[in-house]
Amino acid sequence: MSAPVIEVSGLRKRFGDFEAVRGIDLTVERGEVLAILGPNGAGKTTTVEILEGYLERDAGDVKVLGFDPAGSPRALRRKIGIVLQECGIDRFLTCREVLQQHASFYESPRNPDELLELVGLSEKAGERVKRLSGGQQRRLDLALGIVGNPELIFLDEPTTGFDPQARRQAWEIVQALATGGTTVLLTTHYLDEAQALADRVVVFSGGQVVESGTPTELAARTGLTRISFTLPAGIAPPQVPGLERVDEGSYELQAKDPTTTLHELTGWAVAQGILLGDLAVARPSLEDTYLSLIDPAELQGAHANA
Amino acid sequence: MRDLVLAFRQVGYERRSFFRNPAAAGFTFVFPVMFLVIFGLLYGDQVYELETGPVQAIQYQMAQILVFAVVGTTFVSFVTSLAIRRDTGELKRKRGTPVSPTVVLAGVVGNGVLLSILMTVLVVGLSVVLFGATLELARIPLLVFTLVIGALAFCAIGALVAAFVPNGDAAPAIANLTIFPLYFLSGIFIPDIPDTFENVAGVLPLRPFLLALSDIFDPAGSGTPDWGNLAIVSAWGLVAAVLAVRYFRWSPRR
Repeated sequence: MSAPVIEVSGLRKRFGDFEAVRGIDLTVERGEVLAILGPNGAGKTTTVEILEGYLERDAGDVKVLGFDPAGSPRALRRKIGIVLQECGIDRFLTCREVLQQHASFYESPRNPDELLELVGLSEKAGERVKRLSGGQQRRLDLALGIVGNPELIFLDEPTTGFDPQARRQAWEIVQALATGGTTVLLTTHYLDEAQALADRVVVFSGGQVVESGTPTELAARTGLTRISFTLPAGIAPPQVPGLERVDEGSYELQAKDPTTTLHELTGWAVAQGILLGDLAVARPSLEDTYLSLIDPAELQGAHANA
Repeated sequence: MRDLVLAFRQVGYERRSFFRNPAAAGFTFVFPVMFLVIFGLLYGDQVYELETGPVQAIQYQMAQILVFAVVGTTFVSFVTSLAIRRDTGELKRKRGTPVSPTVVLAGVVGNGVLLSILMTVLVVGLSVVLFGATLELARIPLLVFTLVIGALAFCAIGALVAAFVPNGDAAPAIANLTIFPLYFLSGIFIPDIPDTFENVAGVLPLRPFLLALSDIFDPAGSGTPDWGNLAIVSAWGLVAAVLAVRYFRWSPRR
């Protein structure tokens, strides 16, 4: 097996009094899609910017494609692609011009027109960047990130502001890149995005790694299946442990052993001659695990920032 | 070699981008022309008695307005555009690609030099047509040489100041606040300056640039700029360039 594409150990970074990254270890294998999940302020962007060479670390060992990214060596920049959050483009150039310009920076770039086609901007090729919508600009960002045929691509919240269709399209592009052997490091707020794209998920909280594994492993970690149903007005709920009233006539419970619990519930309903309305059984989700890992205060902070 | 080709291409992109923003481009050109017409009408036909002989005022005004125009297209727009591009992340994005920082800056500098030459054609042309100024064709090579030195120096000084501008919104104010006292001290808007001003302004970059240009435009003179003055302008440019590289920031302040 070849050496990992990214190797990080004991990474630390402080801004004044605030320690943004507090001892992070991370390994990304070649061809892997790794998603970093976490609320705002968890240290995601700081970590990624250290790997990209934008920020200098305070402590720890970092290797990206065999290079130390500190000081941003040109040989490293030739092999990586970066899609940053909110990053300007010369607004008076057209999409095609910007892509041609960036293509000229690399030794074996991809064809700008094919890239426009890939991200669904062919019709906007001759349009100036300033006339693009926010979502279209993000798609151009994505195209600019892969124009150099990178071995490793960093995607910092790549689909923020996308409509659902554009999102699917972006996911397909990332999946195609991964299939082609490109290593992807992705940060995201969206759990479904991590679930759809990532081979492995790392959850950051307070500048530390609090959990990691495949999306399925992480989801299974809470081990609870959610069962929900409604009852007609005036009917008292059955005596089942853990049952919670969510709303008027609407109930939910987290079951460790869903088979037994469902049998109890349906047995009760049949005996009473009542229908369980909107009966739903949801398998453990990444979201449940994620929420159980993240400190509620931190989540609230994230909302205040958003 | 590859970088040289890239730098030329960058100049092309910069030029396109500049002229596609008609409001900004227009302002850059209209401002000096407005001053030229005002000063030309006010006292362009007066005659100065210099050691070399009588000279029509427009010959000197041409140099004054040209300095104003070149500094506007290099220093002022450099400070502003670098600060704004840093704010929007345009510079940060380029820093993440293999392109050499020199190539990125060369594109902006090259465009500034190109625009300075265009401004010269405009200012000198209008002075000749509207106010009867004269310029011997044989002096054009030295004029271009002096212009390029001045334009490069003021680009470098602009890049240095940009390094210390906190954000794009503050940039135009800081650029103007730095340069306007220097315009007045160096006698850009007045016919002559007192000796006390001369002693200070003479070692700053603007006044020597003005004197070098006025040597070229003085029809009674030899047409050769004072090399000492050009040396002062170059020295400022070199020192600024070294410091600008040392303190340049690609990413917005966080």
